[in-house]
Amino acid sequence: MRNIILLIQKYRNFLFFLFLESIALFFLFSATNSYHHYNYLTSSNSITAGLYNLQYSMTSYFSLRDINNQLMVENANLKNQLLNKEIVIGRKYVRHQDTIYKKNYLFKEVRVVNSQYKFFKNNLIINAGSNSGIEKKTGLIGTKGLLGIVMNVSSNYSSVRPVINPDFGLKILHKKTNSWGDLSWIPEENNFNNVFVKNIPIYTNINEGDHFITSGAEGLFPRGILIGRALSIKENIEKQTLIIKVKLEEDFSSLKVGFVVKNEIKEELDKHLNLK
Amino acid sequence: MIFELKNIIWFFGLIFIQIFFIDALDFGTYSSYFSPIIIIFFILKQRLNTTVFQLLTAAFFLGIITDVFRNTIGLNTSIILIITFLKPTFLYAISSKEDIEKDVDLNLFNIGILRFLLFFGISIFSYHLLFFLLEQFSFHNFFTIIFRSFINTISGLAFLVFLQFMFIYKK
Repeated sequence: MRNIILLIQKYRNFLFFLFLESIALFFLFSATNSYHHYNYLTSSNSITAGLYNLQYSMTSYFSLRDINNQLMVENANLKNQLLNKEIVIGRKYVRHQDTIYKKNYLFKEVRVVNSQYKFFKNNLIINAGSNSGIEKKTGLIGTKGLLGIVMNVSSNYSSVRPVINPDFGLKILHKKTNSWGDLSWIPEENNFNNVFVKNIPIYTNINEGDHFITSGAEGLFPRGILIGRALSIKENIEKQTLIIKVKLEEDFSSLKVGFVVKNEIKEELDKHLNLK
Repeated sequence: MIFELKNIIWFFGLIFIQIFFIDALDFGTYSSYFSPIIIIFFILKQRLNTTVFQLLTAAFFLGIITDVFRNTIGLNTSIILIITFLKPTFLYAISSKEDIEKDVDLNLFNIGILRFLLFFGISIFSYHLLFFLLEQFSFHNFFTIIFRSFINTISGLAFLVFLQFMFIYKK
């Protein structure tokens, strides 16, 4: 017994190191499952997100001109859409004033409080949480294009898994040919302004500069939200598919505003998606 | 003593600079090459008579707080603990035990520019190398990782020299 105590005394520093290291490694490897990780130890909790919010409120003043320009462009686009719609609705459909008519997608404007873009697993924080009606697994779009999916919601903030995260995956469409592809971001090969689109058949006619849009398949985003343009196209002869590098429309290093997309009839769609 | 006021200010100051300044710097496409981790300076600069127990405890909390902000829970903590444990090995690899006084902070002005560059350089390079390997969890693109670690080490050292001239330098 005395020898054991002497041994522990002799190697106490090393044992203490092992103890702390094992806690750290436990945190690291249980991070995706742990309850605590999702509820307390993420940057969307009230203390850390509050500090990020403070930083945002100090720095946002300096980018007001850019935000104004973005909003003007956004306003112009919306007006354009609205005016076009009214003509169609006036002539063909009257049900837009009908209270039974349910809108498919609702949009809630949010501010991006923190945007990571140079790490391996990037993450965004937005300044709206469950108090503002934000739910898990809803989409987030920016003023120019697709941003990500809401993964974790606290009362006043939410963290979002952006397109530039290796865990992000989405079915998307080539706008001209309507071909389906899979979007993925590979940290070793992509940087924060491009992604890969894979699994599009090799015979598809795709040119550089072509647009890719959301498909609306998972019910997270409406169909037709812009993702980016094709930068370069390679062929995978083995699988008979194309590997396309796509330049993203959104610049993740200067995000300020976004819109959370809520699908009102997602539950109904999920029933169909889960049918086997 | 590690728990004195000056050290507490350095502790939170370094975390603040790391999270709200260095992580927020934007170098466009090359951002991943210029995102050095400088919080390890707090551990490396501690006097030689600081006990390992105190160092490890400080390292643990330094890592955890940084991790919570960067959403990398456990990643910085595990590596900062390893570097803390290896600190004496790195230090005595570049100088003999008698060369450095036990009760002075290990900064640029007390240990000299050459020792500073070697000791801090080796430690910060190891930190980045381990960090990127554990983050990626594979040896894929190993040489890119070494290059990234090297560039980050140089930018980190440059920033630390600047910090020390700002906050430690006395005529």
